[in-house]
Amino acid sequence: MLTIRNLHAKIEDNQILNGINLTVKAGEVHAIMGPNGSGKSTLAAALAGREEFIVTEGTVDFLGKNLLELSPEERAREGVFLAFQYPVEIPGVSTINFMKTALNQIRVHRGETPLDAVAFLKLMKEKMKLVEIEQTLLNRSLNEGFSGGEKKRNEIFQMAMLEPRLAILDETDSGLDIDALRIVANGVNVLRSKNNATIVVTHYQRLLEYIVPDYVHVLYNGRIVKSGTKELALELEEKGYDWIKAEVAAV
Amino acid sequence: MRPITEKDNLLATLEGAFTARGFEQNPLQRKAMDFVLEKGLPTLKSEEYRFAPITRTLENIFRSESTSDSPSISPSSLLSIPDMPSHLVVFVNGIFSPAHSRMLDDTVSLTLTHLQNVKADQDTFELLNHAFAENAVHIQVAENVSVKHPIAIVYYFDSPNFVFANPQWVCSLGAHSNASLLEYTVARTPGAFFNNKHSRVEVGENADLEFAMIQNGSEEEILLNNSHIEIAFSSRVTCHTITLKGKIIRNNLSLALNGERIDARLNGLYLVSGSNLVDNHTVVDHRKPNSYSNELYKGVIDGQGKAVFNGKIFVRPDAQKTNAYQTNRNILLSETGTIHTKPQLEIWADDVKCSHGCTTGQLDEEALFYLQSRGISKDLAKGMLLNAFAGETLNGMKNEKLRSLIDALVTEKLHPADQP
Repeated sequence: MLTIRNLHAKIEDNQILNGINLTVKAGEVHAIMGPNGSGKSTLAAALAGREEFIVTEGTVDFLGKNLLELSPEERAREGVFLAFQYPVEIPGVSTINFMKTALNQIRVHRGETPLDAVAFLKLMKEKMKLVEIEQTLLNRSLNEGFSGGEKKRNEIFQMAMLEPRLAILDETDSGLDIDALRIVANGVNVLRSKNNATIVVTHYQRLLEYIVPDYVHVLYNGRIVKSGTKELALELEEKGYDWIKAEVAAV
Repeated sequence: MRPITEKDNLLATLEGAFTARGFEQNPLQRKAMDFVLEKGLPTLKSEEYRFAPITRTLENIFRSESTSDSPSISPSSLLSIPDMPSHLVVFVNGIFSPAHSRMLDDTVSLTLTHLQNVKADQDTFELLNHAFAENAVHIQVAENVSVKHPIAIVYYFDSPNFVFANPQWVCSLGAHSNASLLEYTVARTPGAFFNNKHSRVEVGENADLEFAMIQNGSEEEILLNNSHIEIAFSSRVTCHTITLKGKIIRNNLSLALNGERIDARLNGLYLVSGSNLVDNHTVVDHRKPNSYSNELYKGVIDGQGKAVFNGKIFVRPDAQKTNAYQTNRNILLSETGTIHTKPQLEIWADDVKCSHGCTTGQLDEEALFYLQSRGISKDLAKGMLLNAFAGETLNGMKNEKLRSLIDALVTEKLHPADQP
């Protein structure tokens, strides 16, 4: 589904990604772990098409398309979804209107008819249950005044509505208490299928107890320096990241 | 003596037109014209007009011979807003037209009246209005009356020639009454016109007034809008100044809070593009204690557009326990757009709460990316963000139909090509 080859990216003059190679197949869950500043969030943002991150080398193939040539909205319409680490508050734009506009732009792109208000609300009610989100919250301006947990649940709600092929969860666990974490993870698990894939970007192993990955990759200095299965995450939890840094230094 | 400058040509033309129309026979008009001649029209060196080249622009386009000629007949459907029954007070090419005006019921009455006096320290364009306006329309609402439909004051222009219009109206809203005033321009001419308008509203005790000025007439319009509102004890007044079109739009809006327990709101929205100019000068004058005022002006400036916000708040020595707030926010969409913003607070009382703030920035890139990352096109996302930014100024609008009409106009202006 996703093939990243030798990806280099920088922001302003800081080179952050130094040759990422990663292949994700449909049905898989990949966890990207690593110490702060290793480039995890940059990788997520570069895949979603954030303009500040300039790709200097490498290719990204997504379902046969050159992802790097597409605008952020085209990537979303092709099926890429980024759950933000810090969802943006947008006063004056209602969550429901926003969601309806987004969904219908994606539907039109897929050659489907846009949903009318009734059909949209029906779908919305269905998906709201997944992440235990209240309609009163969705009636408000997008993320405005939402608590940390509410913002993250709103991200997963949006993901449920848009049904992406590839979901990238950027530190979705940060700032969540254990109940919110469980709700968010449960939402992600329900949405998993053999047709879609998930990349979970996280600093801690905690989230991976709920969203069990098929593969775990450790990112350090803008490269994947170690890959393994879920046991690798447990090892990292136990030993921290220093031994990885030491290993890299030794090479 | 005033130094002789190039603008004297325009003054001479104005004086010629004034004499030709026989206005000097009226002592008050004569006095107003004398003040204008004495003071001269403001230039960019005049503090109050330093960003508004109205005089210079007029010098290039002013033609006196055709003003106020042959008011033509226009269908009244052109004049009113669809699906919004309104009392109509219509000026055709600047001249009050009884034939086009109509009251829907007897809660509102119209008469003709005259100004009582003119003063040298009035705005020069206002004095010019007084020199050229033969009479004023008096819109009256008695005490204890609830006016159901909006009272629309319509400036209709259809002359093929340049029009120098000096409409003048006053409105008195009786105590314990409520009314909604709506002012807009209908232009059926591609040509330029100068609408040099003066209005004065007197709001009685414990009354409710909503006053919306929708400035969406013509790209060639030059508007000088002198609007004064005098407010008595315990009344509630909300003003909306929405500027969407016009070459040069200058609003001098002043609110005098002459009593206690007044609630006054001023909302402004200006969307400026091309090389147009929108200049809002507001005055909120707290003269008595215990009143509240809140002013929110927002602007979006594109192209080589230019906007000016100058907000004066006076808190007189008597006006203890005043609460007065002012906010001006701007988004610049281009590198060539300009905004000049200046709060001016003069506070003589010592027990007051006053605040002011202004910001100028660009569209929030984080928010834009967030919307795009959900599949929304960049243009539509921009439009959504600008609509949301602008929408805050419309939230206080009580007339829902008007609100949705303006929403649609704003949407059209902000993202014409890409509506959801």
